[in-house]
Amino acid sequence: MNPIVLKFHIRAIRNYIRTRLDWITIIEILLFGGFLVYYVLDSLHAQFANVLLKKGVGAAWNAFYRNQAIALLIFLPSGMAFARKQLASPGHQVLLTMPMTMYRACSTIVDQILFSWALLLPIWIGFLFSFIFQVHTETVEFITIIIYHTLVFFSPVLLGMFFWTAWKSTRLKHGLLRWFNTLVLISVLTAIVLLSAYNHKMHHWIVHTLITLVLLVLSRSLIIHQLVNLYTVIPDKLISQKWNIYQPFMFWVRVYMFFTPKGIRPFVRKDTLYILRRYKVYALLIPAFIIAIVAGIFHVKTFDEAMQWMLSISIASGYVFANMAFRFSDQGCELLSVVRSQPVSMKRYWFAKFWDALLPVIWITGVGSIALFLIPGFNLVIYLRILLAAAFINVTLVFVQTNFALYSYPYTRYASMWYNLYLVMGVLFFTILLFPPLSIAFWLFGYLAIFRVLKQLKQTDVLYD
Amino acid sequence: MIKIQNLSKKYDRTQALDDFSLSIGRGEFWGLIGPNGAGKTTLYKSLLGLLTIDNGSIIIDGKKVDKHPEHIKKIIGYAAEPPVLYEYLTGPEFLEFTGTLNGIEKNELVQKINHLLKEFDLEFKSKDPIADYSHGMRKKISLAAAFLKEPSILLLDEPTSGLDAESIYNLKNHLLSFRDKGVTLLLSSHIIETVEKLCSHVAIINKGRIIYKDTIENIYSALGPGETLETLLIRLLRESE
Repeated sequence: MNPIVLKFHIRAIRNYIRTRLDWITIIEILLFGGFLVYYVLDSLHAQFANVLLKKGVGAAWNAFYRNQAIALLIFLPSGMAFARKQLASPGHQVLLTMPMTMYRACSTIVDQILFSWALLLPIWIGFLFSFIFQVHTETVEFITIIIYHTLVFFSPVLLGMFFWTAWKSTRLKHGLLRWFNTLVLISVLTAIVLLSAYNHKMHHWIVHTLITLVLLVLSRSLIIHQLVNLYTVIPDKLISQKWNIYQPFMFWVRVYMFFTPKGIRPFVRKDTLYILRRYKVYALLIPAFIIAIVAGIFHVKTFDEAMQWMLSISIASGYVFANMAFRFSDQGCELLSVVRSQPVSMKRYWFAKFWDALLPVIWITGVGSIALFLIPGFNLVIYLRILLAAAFINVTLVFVQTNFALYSYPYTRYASMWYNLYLVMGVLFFTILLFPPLSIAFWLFGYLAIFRVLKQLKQTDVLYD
Repeated sequence: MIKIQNLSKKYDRTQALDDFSLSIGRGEFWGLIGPNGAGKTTLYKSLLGLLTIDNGSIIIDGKKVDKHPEHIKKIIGYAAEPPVLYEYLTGPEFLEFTGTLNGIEKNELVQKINHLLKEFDLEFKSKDPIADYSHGMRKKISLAAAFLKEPSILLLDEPTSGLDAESIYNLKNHLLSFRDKGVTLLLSSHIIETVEKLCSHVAIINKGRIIYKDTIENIYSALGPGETLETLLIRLLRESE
């Protein structure tokens, strides 16, 4: 990696931390993250010690491999999302105009992203250390395991970049790899990395390390090649984006608008289109939701369990959608000036946000109801109770989110960048999940605060330049 | 039409507007000239009620801005610099959004949008999201949104920035047609030629204050030998430092 680029990349990270995170937030993140990491590592350490004591070294290694595979699967969506976000940054254009070859520039871009991802490496290594010190290993083996484990850590972000470049290449007439081929290749690569680790009987760490290294170097080379292809292509030769893929949604948007009060219809339509079109932001949540539904059908046995399960899914989805409605549809509230410069009351704008939250409720309960009918003895009364509870909680979450954002900062544009909000919402989410009746208190709080919020919305300075 | 009296606005340590006063009559075209950070954008936002002012008052169309925000916004068309648009809506969808908020009837709205897209040469991008637009195209959408409601006051913040030569020519003609309709215009620009060609009045602003204002005819007659509006601006700015 180019040392000058590295130097300024480190400065950019430092500036980001300085300007975006205040001290309270940094302390909160450190405390919260530190507690979480300590809790996970401590329980893993205890688990390994227990297995080692009761079942011996072979079983302990087995447990380690299994946990590593799980950890990799957890890191995979984050790594892929991280890669997508980083590669999409327009800042890379600057690097392309510098006096270096395209391959050099693109490899620097890729390494820059890997470097940022490496900031999480201590946590990953900590996971290894929670185990490795408990079993006897030779020095060479010890070093090789660390190298292997580190290489595995970089696989999610490399696979993410691989996928992103392939996805973008679908707009090229002569892309090297189509996204479907890439998807297959990624699956094969992940499977090989995982299987290579899972083959615990071999204990040939050097072989594991070499296989993984070759695969990752191959991925990196393909990413760089794809990036060069993408950046050097003449824009005129790009196939224009196929926006008509959203046309099937338009019918449902129109149906939804039919039931939306006329006064807030433009807002809700805009938000709905926005949410549908920014599907990449939440695409990974959809399979998670499907897994949760399918898992529920197989595990839920009683009425109470079914209700609790359905409620949990509704709350979780509501939490995500409430955040999305406020966060993504307004891009950091910067665009509030568009609304503020139109002859509409802030009351209408604000009320539209609640209507946004109703869409996921309808969606979730619609999908959920199909699943619920598969549970024997489930009746309409329980279904209606869940529907009401879900609607209630979704609205509460929007209330609370809107209020906290506006209470906390003098300028609305910073509201969604306020990291404390996500911590507060996280606490509220789990509180409501554990004690659903508490949502009444939150709802009342939100309702009583409406007047202050509206006043604040009207008076907040619009600053965007 | 617009009466600004002793207007002051401060951001932290920066005095954006300092005891600013200006009266603008109906149908007048005012060109606001000044260096970056002079307070032009702050003035526009204050006129729209997007900022809370520290001191002074703004009366538009006989009504106080802070007391009648909806009426004021109904009659003002504003194009910001840089353009602030919803990236994941297409150009026509964005215009439909702002048009509906302004209460324009559906059929009329569709006609107007089609007309503006044709005029700004944006028809070929009508199915693409704004995220795929160039800066100039975004500027055109922002201007089209301001023109859509047929306002009686237009606030244009550097309207020619990012536009190609033909679009600038068309825009100028469009604005001249507004003059015939009695629309009041406030236009800020760093391109003196644009102001000279379009405006009936000029105000030179620096550090939140008006340092010079007059009609364009009076300015020309007062210019010294070999002096242009550009050299006058630079001289006045240096003197005001």
